[in-house]
Amino acid sequence: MFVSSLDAYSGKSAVSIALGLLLKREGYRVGYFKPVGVGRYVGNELVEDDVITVSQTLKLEDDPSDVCPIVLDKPYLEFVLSSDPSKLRERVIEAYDRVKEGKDVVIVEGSLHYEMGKTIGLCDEELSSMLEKNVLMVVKYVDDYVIDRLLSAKLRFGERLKFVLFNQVYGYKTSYLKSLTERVLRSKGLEVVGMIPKDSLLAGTYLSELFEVLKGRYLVEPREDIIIEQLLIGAMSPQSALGYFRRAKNCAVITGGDRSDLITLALEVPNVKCLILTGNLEPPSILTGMAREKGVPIVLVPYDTLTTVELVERVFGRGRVGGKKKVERILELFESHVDFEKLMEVEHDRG
Amino acid sequence: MLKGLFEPEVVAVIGATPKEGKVGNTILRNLKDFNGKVYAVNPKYSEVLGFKCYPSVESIPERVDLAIVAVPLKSVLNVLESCGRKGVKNVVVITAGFKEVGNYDLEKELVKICKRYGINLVGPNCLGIINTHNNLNATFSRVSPPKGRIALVSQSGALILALMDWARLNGIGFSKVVSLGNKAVLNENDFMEFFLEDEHTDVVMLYLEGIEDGRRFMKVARRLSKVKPVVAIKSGKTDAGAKAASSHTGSLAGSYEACKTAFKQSGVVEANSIEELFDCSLVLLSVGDFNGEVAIVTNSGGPGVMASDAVEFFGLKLAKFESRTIEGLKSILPPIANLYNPVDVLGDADAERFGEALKVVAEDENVGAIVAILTPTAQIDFIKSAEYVSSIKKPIVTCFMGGESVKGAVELLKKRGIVNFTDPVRAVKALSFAYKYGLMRSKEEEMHEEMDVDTELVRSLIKERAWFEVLKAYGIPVPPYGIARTAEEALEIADKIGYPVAMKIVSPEVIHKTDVGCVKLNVGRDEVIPTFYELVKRAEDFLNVEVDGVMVQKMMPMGKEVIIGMKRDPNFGPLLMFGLGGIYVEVFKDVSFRIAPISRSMALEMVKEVKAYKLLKGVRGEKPSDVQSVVDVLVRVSKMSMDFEEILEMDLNPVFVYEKGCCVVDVKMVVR
Repeated sequence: MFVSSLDAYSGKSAVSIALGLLLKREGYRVGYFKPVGVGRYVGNELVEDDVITVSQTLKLEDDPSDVCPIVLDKPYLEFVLSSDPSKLRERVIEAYDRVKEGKDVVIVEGSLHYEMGKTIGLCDEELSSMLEKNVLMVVKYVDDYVIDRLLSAKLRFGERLKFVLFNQVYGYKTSYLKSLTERVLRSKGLEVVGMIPKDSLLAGTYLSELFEVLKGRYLVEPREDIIIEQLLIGAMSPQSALGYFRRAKNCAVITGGDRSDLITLALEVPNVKCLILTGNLEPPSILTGMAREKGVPIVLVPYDTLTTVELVERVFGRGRVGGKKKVERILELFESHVDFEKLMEVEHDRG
Repeated sequence: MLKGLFEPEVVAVIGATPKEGKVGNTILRNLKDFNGKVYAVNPKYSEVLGFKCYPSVESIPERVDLAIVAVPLKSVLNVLESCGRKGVKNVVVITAGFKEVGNYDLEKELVKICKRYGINLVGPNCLGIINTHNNLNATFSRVSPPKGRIALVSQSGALILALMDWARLNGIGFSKVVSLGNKAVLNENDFMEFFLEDEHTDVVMLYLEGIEDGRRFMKVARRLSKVKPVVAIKSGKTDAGAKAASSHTGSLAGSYEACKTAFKQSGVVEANSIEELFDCSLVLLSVGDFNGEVAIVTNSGGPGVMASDAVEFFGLKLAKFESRTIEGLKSILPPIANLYNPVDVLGDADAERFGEALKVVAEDENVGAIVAILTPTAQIDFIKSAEYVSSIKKPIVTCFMGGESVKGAVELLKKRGIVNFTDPVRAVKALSFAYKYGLMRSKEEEMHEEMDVDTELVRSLIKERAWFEVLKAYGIPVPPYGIARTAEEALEIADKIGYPVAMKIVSPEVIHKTDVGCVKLNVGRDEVIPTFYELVKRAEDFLNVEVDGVMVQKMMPMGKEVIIGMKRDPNFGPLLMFGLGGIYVEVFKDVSFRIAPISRSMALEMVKEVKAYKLLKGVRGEKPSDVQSVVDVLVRVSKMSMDFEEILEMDLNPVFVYEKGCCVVDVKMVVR
């Protein structure tokens, strides 16, 4: 199975994890392959986050350079100009051969979105046919127009694109998407295998990810790596803040270290999971003590509130999908909203 | 429970030292006059300031009732353990360095030890305690207050020092003084409970920044205020104050509205300044409560008029004299004197004329309290006047205005337990507190009604966020409605409930639906489908929000618009709100508050308290609206907020009130 998507950050890795775990549960030897990845430098090392997360979650032992043979180590344009497409293709095929050895199933994850890699002959359409895989298109429901883009993609992939999985579907749209599936998509040769509702926990970001981008310091260390689903900026009076804090879910509150009124209040509301204090202003020690007592981490950052928000937004909603809580939720959603049997039937037919 | 704390026979000062200026030295000095035994504890000495000194509390050869701990921070836990083993049941920890500096773990250890041995602990980080009736001054204050009938409980130790110093200067006495410190074990509620039975205390004064366990506070304060007045300053009321309080003591910035309401409901008189705290406490001590009808007797017109203004301003009334009072006054006053309230005995009056007038007025059944005002005219003898005032049997406050010339008289009045003010307005204001106290005290608690509600069903409805269904389950009237996920479904629902209908977006993200065009009223059959599309398109285009569907609701006829709300206060619990509805609710803030649970009569009071009540009664020939139906919704909302702690906020807005019945047209809730 080749997992592709119309847009970046659509949930491909989560789908790969769910497929991998369910297949493993059924006794299959599962492999994971991501032909083209986008790297980022952490210290001196170039890493591909999805590869690390998926491999760790599925407990795979393949060499990371085989699992992801091509990792962008420079901006895409420079990469395009400096590489030889035929060599890249060769590298993909060789690596894939090594990964699939001893496996019953290999889940292949496309790069950012299905069109990426076209210039070097390595977009999802080309990769899926090179590796002879059926394509499962993950469609993040960003707006109604995704339908048109889905049908354009179908034209490109042709027969290979059989399955569609809508992700982050909400509210009344579900009824309409069901009608659409019956009236339009099926006649175009697309089978909708599921509609996964929007889930704030999965969209959430781990505190460690926020911490990394903020480059602050912990005044109160977290007891565990928590998931932040929402950000609130504490610039209002405590009375109005209370309503916001209560409405929020697993949120981090960004406020000045001198706003002891808001800090005390935030510590009182269980939905507030973390405090990010700006301006390098340390709160009175009675409050850090209170936070420690309640197990609410405090990150102190040197920036003003606006800069802090900008930094946080870089990672927000793009968090990794690993970790026990998120994986449990992925499986839960997958099992209740996706027709896994239907996906498997076709795989069996092929096998 | 706290008798041993205030009436110990044997006291040990742990950390006693001969070094002057040290806390352990000052405490021991303050205990020199104590009517009981005092031991010093310090391994370095065998005697301190003439008291026998032991190396540890355990080595004291007899039972110890109270230990005062003033040792370095690192030794506090060991010392407390040792007190526990010795069987000391009352401990005051003066030492600081606990929660107030973020050291929660150490404070937790402290509490653990107290729990293990059943120790009543005051502090830590406090000034100590005083019982003037047995000369127990277990504080490091340099001032000892005189004996009196006021108990002072304060979260700020430094404030106690200032108050005691000032009170001494003004001859005001205390029965007990407690510095609460961090309130690790004992808090204001425990002390209020104690003062309930304390025969030496007639008035309780509180200074609080944060209130521990608001629900218990209300319960205890209610019981206490029934027998003796409780006057409180709650600081940290404004945003600026709350900020200061939270960094000072980590007190939560709960809503001031909730605190004010809690005070009112539990009979606590709220003072806003130190001056008010004393004025009010002293008047309550001297006058007690009265019926709010004031008589003014003065030798000077100006201050009399000022006092009359103040009477009305502070919610009191000038008493209407009985005819025999007027006759009586006529017989003793010159013909040009004012015989009616305020009584002006004129500037040429001597003490006798003034005193006689007071006597006549005091005998009037309608008069609840008297304000006696004198300015230093050549004819008036203040001492003699003070004698007359003290002979009056009615509640009375004086306003002997002046400086040197009134000094002796004021001293005399003080001795006789009469409070003198230099300003007539301040005198009347202080009296108004006594009246308010009386009003609050006289309120009877009622039984709260039982309701038949399927709580299991409601719990699942809350999970589904089906707010209208939750209201229905509580018997609160709502219009017929349905939620459509498609346009066709909307039409089906509308056909069922009948036309015209109201349609509104259902989305947790859209809070002010009307403001963003996500509500359509008076929709006819032909318009249902296009309206469905229009609403979802508006919501998505302009707001980019997630939409759950569209609510199709029967269009209700307009009634008088009111709003009923609930906000769960972190300290006091559900704070109910009632007010005039409509879009200007946030501007006019014509609202009233109560803390749940409320009875029908409390709900009715809430409704009557707002200015808009007149609208409900009907203006300009309108028929009155069904106030009882609003009362019913209030009581049901109160019950719901008590039954379901997960409901944090609730907003029934608008509620249409008709000549008969009412209907909740829209509802918002925030749940945990």
